[in-house]
Amino acid sequence: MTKACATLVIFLFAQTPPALAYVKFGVRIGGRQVTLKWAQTPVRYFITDRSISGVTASDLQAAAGRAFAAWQAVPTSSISYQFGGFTTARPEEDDGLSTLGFLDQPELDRVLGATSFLVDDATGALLESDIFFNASFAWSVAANGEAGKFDLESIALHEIGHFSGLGHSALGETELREGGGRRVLAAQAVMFPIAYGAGTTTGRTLRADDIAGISDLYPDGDFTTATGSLSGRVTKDGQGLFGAHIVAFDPANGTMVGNFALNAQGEFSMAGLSPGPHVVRVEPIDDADLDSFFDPARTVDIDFRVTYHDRLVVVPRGADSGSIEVKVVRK
Amino acid sequence: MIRLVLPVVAAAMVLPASPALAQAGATSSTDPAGRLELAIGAVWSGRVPLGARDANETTGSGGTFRLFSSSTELGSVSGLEGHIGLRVMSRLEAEASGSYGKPDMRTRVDSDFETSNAPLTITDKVQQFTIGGAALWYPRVPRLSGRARAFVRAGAGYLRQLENDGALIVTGRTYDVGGGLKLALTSRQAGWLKGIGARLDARAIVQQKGVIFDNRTHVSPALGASVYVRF
Repeated sequence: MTKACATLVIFLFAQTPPALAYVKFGVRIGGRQVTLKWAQTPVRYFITDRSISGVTASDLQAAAGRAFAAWQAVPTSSISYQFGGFTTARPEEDDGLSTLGFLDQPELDRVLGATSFLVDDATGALLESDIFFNASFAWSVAANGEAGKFDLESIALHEIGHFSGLGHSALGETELREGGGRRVLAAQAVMFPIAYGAGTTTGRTLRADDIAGISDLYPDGDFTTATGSLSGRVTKDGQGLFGAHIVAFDPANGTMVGNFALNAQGEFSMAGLSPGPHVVRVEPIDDADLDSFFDPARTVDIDFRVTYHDRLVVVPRGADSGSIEVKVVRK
Repeated sequence: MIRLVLPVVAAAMVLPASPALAQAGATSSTDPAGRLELAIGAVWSGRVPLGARDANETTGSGGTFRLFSSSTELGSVSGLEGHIGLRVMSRLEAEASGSYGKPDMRTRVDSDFETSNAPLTITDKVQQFTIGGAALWYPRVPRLSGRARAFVRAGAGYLRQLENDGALIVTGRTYDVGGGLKLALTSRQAGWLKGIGARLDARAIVQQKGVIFDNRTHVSPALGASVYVRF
């Protein structure tokens, strides 16, 4: 068995097929790509019986419970979770228990939390996933947040997205801080890799991009028949462009769902879109570190202008739009 | 096809009276010969605003951050329409109508936070079919000649719109009110063909659902010109 550490860095594998993929975790088993997801639900999780200043283990259990409930409430997704109880086990121990808890990680001065996985390297089966919250930061479980403290429920919601198999979304805008790092101006996905600042509870709400992602991973109900997909490729100078960020915007309801061109041909695909016309916008990844999304060994081209596809792309109900090509040009 | 139909209608309107027209004056303006009327012609429909939406992200304080804005409309379009009318009373006709058009759906993208490429307009074609029924009432208009008849019309219809050549089908309803003029070019009491004429329509069309993004009703103008035959 292999411990695949995901922390906040989500690696997409070089040859990830674009078929209806959101940014999911994947492992390569025997030469084939296996999507990391839970085979059986409800997924049992445990809470480490450890309190920190201002947050008891019960507080953590309540906040995490609300976050799990938010993912479980997505009507088009089948995933469910079950609280197994408190434990003395710590996150990141390979003990077969999926555990959430606080760890002291002062050296990780920009990491609020992280998710890791235990994977059967023979079958690719997901055996365990742990989430730690960095006790070096000040945390809040207050209903309306607390100034200077990070909202535990918001960060738990993000990490549980990873716990469930989702990678990062690039639906957000940031600006560089003078002292290093980035500040979030806005985001439209809980799975955006950079958290809002301390004191806000805005990150407690799942967005359309999150809902499409979890539903694509664990489809339920009429998800596959009531929604559609949009696919195509991004090219520059006639060549496929790896790593371009594609956003499908529904002008009828204002929702945005994003994904990446995930192979050397620049191919992409997005499922879970509302039927109807969509505006397709392609942009370089410039609002977060590239290794938040991709294996650092991969070369991601960000030397191109934001480009809109020149036609509205109609997403049919229960089917795919048919492949489109978005041609981008250098900056 | 539209370009063919329009000149035919226009020509019909200015044709000098043929020998057969000599009989037109013999027919009462309120009671033309024949009970059944078939008409085919061209129709122009005005643009229909479908709605405006911003691509918003959420700030840390819960406010909105506009990535870009969009507004969408169904463009004005010329198409074909046909009517089958049946006289049920001296001044009242029941009518079934159908139309076909292929308007552009246009989304204007503006104010992009990250690029100066916007504004730009992104389009797609929509095939649009309507079928419906209407009542035509012919009021007394004393100053009209015996060959001309004014009418008012109220109708309702079923709307079917196909996006991306049928990849997505949406349906809706239409209601219309308006009026127009029919000009008899030939008319006779004998024989199976009772008359030929031209028809002009002006309507306000109320559309619900279909490709419209919101739950509101949207009103657009429509003008029609057609040639009819009566039996």
